[in-house]
Amino acid sequence: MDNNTSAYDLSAFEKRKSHELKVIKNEKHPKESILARSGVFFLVAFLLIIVASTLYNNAIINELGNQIVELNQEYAELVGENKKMTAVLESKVSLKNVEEYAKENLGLAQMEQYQIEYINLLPNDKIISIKAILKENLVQNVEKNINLPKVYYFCYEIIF
Amino acid sequence: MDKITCPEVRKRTKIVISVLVILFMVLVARLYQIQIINGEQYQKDALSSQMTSAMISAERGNIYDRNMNTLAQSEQVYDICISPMEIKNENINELTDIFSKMLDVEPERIKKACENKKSQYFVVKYKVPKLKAEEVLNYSREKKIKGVFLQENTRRFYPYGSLASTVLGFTNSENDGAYGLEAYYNKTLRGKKGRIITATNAAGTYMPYNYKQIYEAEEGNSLVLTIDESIQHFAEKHLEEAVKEYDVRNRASCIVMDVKTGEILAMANKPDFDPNEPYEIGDSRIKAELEELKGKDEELYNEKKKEAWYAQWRNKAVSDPYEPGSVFKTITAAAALDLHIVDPYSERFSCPGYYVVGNKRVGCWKTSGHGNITFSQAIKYSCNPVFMQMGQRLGGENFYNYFEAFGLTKPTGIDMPGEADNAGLVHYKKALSVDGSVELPISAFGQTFKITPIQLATAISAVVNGGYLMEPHIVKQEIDIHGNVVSTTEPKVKRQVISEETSKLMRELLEGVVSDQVGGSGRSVYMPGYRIGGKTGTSEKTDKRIDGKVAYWVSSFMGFAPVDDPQIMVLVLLDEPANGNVFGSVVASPVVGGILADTLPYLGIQPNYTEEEMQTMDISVPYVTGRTVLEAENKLNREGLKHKVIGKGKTVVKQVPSSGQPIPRNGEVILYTTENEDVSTTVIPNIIGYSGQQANKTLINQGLNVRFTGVSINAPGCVVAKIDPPPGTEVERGSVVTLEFTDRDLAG
Repeated sequence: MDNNTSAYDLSAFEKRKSHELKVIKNEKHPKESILARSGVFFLVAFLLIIVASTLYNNAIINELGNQIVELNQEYAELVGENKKMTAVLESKVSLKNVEEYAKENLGLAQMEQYQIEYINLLPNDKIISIKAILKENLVQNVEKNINLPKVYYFCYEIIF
Repeated sequence: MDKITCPEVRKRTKIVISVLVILFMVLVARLYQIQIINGEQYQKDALSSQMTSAMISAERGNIYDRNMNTLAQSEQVYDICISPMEIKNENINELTDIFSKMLDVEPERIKKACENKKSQYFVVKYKVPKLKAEEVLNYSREKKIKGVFLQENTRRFYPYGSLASTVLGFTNSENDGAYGLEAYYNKTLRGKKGRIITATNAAGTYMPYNYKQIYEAEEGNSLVLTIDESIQHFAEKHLEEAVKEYDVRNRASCIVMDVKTGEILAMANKPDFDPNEPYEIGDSRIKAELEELKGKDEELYNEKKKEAWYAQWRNKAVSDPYEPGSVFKTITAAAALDLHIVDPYSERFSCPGYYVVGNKRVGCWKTSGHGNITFSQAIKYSCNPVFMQMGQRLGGENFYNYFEAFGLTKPTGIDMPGEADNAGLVHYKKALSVDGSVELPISAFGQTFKITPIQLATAISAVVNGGYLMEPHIVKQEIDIHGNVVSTTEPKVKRQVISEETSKLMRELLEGVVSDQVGGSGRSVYMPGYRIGGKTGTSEKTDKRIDGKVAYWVSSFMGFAPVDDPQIMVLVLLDEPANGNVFGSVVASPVVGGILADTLPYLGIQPNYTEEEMQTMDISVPYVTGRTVLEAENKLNREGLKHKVIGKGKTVVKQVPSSGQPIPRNGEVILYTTENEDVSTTVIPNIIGYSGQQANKTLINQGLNVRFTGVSINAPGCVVAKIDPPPGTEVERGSVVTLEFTDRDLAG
């Protein structure tokens, strides 16, 4: 027999060095870079901001939409009210009301024929007409600005 | 490499995977069911909860008069609603109290509604004006009562109240036209509703920037009428006065028409109503009668109330036929003259006060007879016997042909609802053509058949406008919401009925009815400066006799002006005047006179006085106080006035009458020249019923000036009807006393 020990791997039975496990406490890992860390943070924050602002936008849009609807409604009501008041004003100055007020409150009466003087015109007669001129001076401009009535000046003009 | 070969583990793994696969398949199956099988349904449900559809109401068009004054428009109002589910029991009494006081609603009804806790919606009151609605809402909020809310609605508003109410009509609770033009033109005015489909948020309001689909509403078009608000007012004012003065019981109607175009410038009926409150009875007499019935006989009360409603809503100028009476003589005369079967000025007829037809003796209004008169005089005096002869001379066929040609057998086609068709109320050719027909001669003066006022007005317009029968219309234009004209109604000539020469002759003859101040039956309408033609009418209501006797009459008058170029025609009828005289010449003609006096200057037709008229017109007393006696005398002389000086002073210190008072041209002005001079006075005597001459003499003898109004004092039957100042009043000598004359002999 040879002195061949290959059939038996006796090295497996040799004493091995036992691995010593060292417990390293509080080992400090090598620091990650601040940039990388903050990058993640900012990314997350950015995403959150996008989401929040989208939600906020939608809320604002809805809110504004509601306001628009309300204001449109109010506008429509006011337009309707304006139309009604215009019609009421027209009716208040109707001929019937004017006549009634003139007769009952002011004691006026309708002009009668005898109060009108009729004249015969001959071919060479001149016609006189009354012309109204609107005149505004500085005082009246100021008055106009605070809604006081304008003053009308009448003048006579002879037309040949 | 190590493998997990433990059979237990493998078994468990298989079980878990199987379970997972089964669950996954269930999930897939469920997804398939939801998304494929029921997908459509769920999509619909999702849409229905996310989307909402709402009606967009179309604004009802307005109604304007010809000058764009708004006669009818819509206003926003609110329905007061409650949600009984949200109302707490402890608030019911308070809520009932609020509503009954503020809205005049029956408390029991509200209580009953509030107790139905399953309900979320109940309308307390419809169409409440905005201010009131807000007051109710604010009050309930102050009291912290939940469950009260408002709902938008619209209501029709008529700013001029009862003006032209029977023409305009009114709308019902659905905002659809119920009567009048509102009903006739409902489709035009109403427009078409739209729809909006949009996403809604949690609050239920629209999200305008999300999905939205709009089907726009088509707003209603507006109407511009031919009616003139001012002329309508004139017509209603004078009609109202006549109804009060003559106690008109059945109806009063007035039509003012432009004879050249057929446009209706005014159409008035009494009694009428306020279309803002159509269920309120407008006539105070009828209202009082109903109040008496209320509580006594509920069934009769309800029946009478309904009758009163329909009577006041109905436009009697188009829907109620009547026997036209002597105004119809205009048509008979036009037919006779057009056929040249009579010479109006030379041929003479006899009127003994009656005419015999068959075995019937028909009287003239002047029982003593008109004697021997021409046809033109017969028109002036409105003589029945002459017109009966004219009817016979025309013959049944000719009479009916003209009757038909003037449009009196069919409705005129005016654009108003309820126009009466008088088929069956007129005599046809066959009946009129029978030998010895009684209907023919009596029809010739406007009795025994019925036509509507609008038919008669249209026919008479044809007589005076050159012979052209126009189609009357009341709507001038249709405009859209932006004011663009959608359509215009053009004047439509139906046919020419008589020649222009005949029309001209008729105008002259009808002018005689008014201008002849001695015999013209319409002389009370005469106005200096204007050429007015007309015809009176007093028809018997032959279908409403009492014990076989005529008990009711219709007084009417037709007037047109100016005669040389007619612009307008006015027809007035007063049905059943109950206060004394029933003659059209007394009762109806002053109404037409008043309307023409207001309308002609309004239309720019100014008076054109003849020399004679200028001489007889009253003038205004000039101011001479403070002048010397000589100056005052000269001034008065220039004005054609007499004077009397009292006192020895040189300056006039007082004058009677005072300046500005009306005085006839030959009147006397008393000039006082000394201060504290005793002013002589006298008491006005009661001279009602005196003739013109007697009254004048009596007052002149008392040192008073006399001013005449009403009919001419030269007319034989003319007597004093009114005195101003009234009898018994003490006045200064020289004062002006105004006498109004009426004519006892005025005809029908």
